[in-house]
Amino acid sequence: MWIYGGYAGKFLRLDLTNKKHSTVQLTKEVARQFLGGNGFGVKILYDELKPGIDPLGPENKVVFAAGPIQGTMVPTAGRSGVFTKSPLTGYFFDSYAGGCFGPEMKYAGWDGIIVEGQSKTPVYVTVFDDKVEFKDASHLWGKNTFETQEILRKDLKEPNAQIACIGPAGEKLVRFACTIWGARAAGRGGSGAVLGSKKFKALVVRGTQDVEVPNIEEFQRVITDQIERIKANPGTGKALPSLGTPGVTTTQNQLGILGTRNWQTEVFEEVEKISGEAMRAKMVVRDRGCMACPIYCTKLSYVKAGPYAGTFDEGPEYETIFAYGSNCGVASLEMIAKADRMSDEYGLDTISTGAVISFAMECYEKGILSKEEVDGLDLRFGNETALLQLLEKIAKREGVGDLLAEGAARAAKKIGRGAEKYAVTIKGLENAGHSPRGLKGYSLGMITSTRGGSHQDGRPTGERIGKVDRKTLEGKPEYAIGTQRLTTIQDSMCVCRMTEGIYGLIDITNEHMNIINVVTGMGLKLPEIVDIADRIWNLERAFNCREGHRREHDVQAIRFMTEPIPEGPSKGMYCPPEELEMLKDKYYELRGWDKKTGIPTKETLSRLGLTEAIRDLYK
Amino acid sequence: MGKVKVKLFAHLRQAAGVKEVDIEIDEGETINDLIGKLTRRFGKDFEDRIRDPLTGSLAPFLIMVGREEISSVKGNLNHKLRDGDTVSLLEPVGGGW
Repeated sequence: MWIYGGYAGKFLRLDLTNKKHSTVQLTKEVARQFLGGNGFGVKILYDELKPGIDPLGPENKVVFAAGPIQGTMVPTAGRSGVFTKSPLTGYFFDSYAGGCFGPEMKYAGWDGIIVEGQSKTPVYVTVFDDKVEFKDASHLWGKNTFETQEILRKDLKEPNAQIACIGPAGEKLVRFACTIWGARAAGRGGSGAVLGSKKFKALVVRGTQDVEVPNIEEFQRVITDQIERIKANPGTGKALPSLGTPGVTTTQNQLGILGTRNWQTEVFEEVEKISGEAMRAKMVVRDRGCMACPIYCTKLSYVKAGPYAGTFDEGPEYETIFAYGSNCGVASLEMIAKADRMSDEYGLDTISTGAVISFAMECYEKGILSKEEVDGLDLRFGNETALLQLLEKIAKREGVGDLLAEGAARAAKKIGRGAEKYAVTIKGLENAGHSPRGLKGYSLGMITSTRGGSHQDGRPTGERIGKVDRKTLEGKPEYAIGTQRLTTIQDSMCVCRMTEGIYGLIDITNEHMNIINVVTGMGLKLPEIVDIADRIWNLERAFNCREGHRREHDVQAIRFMTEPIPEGPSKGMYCPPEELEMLKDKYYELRGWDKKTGIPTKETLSRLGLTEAIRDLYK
Repeated sequence: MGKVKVKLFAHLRQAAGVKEVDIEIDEGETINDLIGKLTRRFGKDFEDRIRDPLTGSLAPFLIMVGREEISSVKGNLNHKLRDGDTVSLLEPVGGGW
């Protein structure tokens, strides 16, 4: 065992320019101060990236990182993250996926892998324990993500290797291209494009080593108890195994907070056709779980008949049903499955791709984009054929797809003519499928977050299930900070959001502390873990402030600040700017950030030991 | 004596086998009474989907009476129902992964 349990104790550095690799030792201090995953990602990138670099240039880096629990049986420990400077936002970005990649990286003896430099020709890298090789990937360039994985497993005679790779969208530098392993996507923020800019097609890992914990009997006792509670809990034991994330589609609609037709409204009249219940009845052929997870929320789907017959898909998840379904005015689960499958093959983030398409559809319907400008497509909401054609054009950067591959915010700016109003983004990232207008705390969490239009920092759950009142402003700054601390620790342990119902919903709890301690033996107290979360969050904020981020960038999408929800149970709700500014004042005060600039104060950075950020921000 | 319409969603709909059901209520009956009637009618599988069998506690979810939202864990489950009310039971999962 390394100094602490769970860790491999080292990182692998891959220099693509010179085709060399080296080992970076993990220190005890970094483990205690940044924990893993999210914490490692921001620590490495803050220290190693200069501000102002081009996200798609050779100076950017991509970090694959796990936390201490990956490779153990802690429920949902299959997850791991990808970290980079995002070509969509220009800021620090973290994105995660389940499956088995993170655990395999740990079995190979690495807490993370840092990819840097730029290859002149396509390359992939194999990491079999300590044996690292750079290999020509010319024959894989242009292949989709599933073909790539299949070819590599066969050629390398490693059927159980875990492979992170990009598809053609990453190769074409689509700014919201993702990284795929298995059929899981580290979907958001454009890490696939960054890897594509480096001509890095795939990372193959296979390991034979153990992940050790200090006291296996105690570990087993804690985990057995957790599994029992997960199975009994109505959310994790019944709802998610039954329908997976698509189960929330009808309930979102019932509350009037289901984004529809580019968020023009939040009630979808054909919701029953795209519900989790309909999906289970029509398409689901098997349930699947990620490594070490007893929940089995993943649904494998097969389209049996109709124009999309023969489509096999892992998913679609709720976010994809929203993105290609209600938000594009489409009521066909079969088409959504087809679009999801195509997105995975091309290596596209389904949330951003769906959002960019719905943006284009609204611009088309409002006459901002002419038929000629969209290559003759009839881009009305609900046109399934046009949607799939546009998806392909975006992945290949063909015709209007080249414009939209820049993301909704950049495309809107180029189009002009008032299109900016219809780009539903925060900090350049297209909004996920939860309503800032209908969930006040979630809205504040989003705008103050590092990532922007993600549902992973501001969280919808507490308000959606009634633990927190979704309509009032009282206590929302505290709630936003609590959920952000929670997500930061979840992402540093690398546990799934599915554990919210068991480990804690709106703040870090003793459950998180017990898991961290039983795996690592660090003996951390709860306030120390809160400090870790704050340290990571503030370093992310410092990364962004170093890039020029300020208070005025913590804003909602224009539509959400100016247009109330027009109908349904949440009619009249929206995010007036004066309301957001008032909430930000209190939020900044609680965070220890300067109210005028939004920059963490010297005192805050000093308390958290972030001297490097003081040096950069207070020159 | 009156009647309320109960709308079910997601996995509660699965367990009940219906999207909605009319339930007779007596004068002064509450949401708590209604939950009792529903669990007796639809059985243990239904109950396990709203109440944790290990703790005996209701899962956190929203109950809508008309457009009024009532939390299963924070709200007033003694809210009195009226003849003709529509009650929606939403899924105890918040979404967002």
